[in-house]
Amino acid sequence: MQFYVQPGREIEIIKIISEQFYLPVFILPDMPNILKYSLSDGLWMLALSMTIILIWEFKACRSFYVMYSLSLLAALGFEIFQINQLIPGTFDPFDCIAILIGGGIPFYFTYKSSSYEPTC
Amino acid sequence: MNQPVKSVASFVVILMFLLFGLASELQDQAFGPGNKYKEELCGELASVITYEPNITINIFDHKNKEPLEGVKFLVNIYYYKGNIKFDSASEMMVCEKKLSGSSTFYPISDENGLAIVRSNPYLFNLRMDMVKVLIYITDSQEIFGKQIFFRNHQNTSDIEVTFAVLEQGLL
Repeated sequence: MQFYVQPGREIEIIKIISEQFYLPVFILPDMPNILKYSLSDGLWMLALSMTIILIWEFKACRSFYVMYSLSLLAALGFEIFQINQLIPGTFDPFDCIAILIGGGIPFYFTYKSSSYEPTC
Repeated sequence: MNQPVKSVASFVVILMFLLFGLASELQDQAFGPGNKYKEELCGELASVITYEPNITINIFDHKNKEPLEGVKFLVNIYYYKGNIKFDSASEMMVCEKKLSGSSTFYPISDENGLAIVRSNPYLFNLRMDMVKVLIYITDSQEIFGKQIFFRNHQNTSDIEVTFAVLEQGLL
């Protein structure tokens, strides 16, 4: 019998049991910090940008671009204002990259699949 | 939906997402600095430290001081790194031990009563607080165990542990 635990999430009772009955404990590899902290920001931006695209019915017009840019600026601003603690949190440049990727992917496909119209 | 409605809906959605983000950050920081901030604070190392505990276990009979051959051990090496955590009881930030790796060995003592464990190198590239080694003689009737702790980046090479066992017949 052996135990597999996540790093930093070991349960004290498992350690006590393993030490008393000579059972080995294997520590699973830790997730990289980019996945732990920045991926959620990227997915958050992805969800926001896809919601904007859905509202504008996949049509690329001037107002859509304005709102899309606004959402991207709001998300980046949310991160950048953390530098001087205007918004609670810890600034991380990888979060900004994740936000740009999360916002850029749906925009790329929308831009590619629809032609520009002045109004929509 | 016409264009003004879409604009208002987009604006509301952006606002909602920002509020969700803000709520998430506030929840993370409800008890002091958030998780990311904590990880950046606790005991950063100036350079990469390699730990390679080289443990020599010496076993002999307690009565006649004769070395005991063929004694099986279980050696667990645990590597801990520092992790700052908010202690709600004292309302202070404390540095907790976070288990970050472990190795298990099953050495057997030779004719001189020696069992040598050479662990794989373990790298601490961010923070390190403690290395704990548990050594047990795997006997069904009685437990002979020792614990060794290494703290504060001490050199852990060539550690010698001596076991004085009561009777050879127990093993």
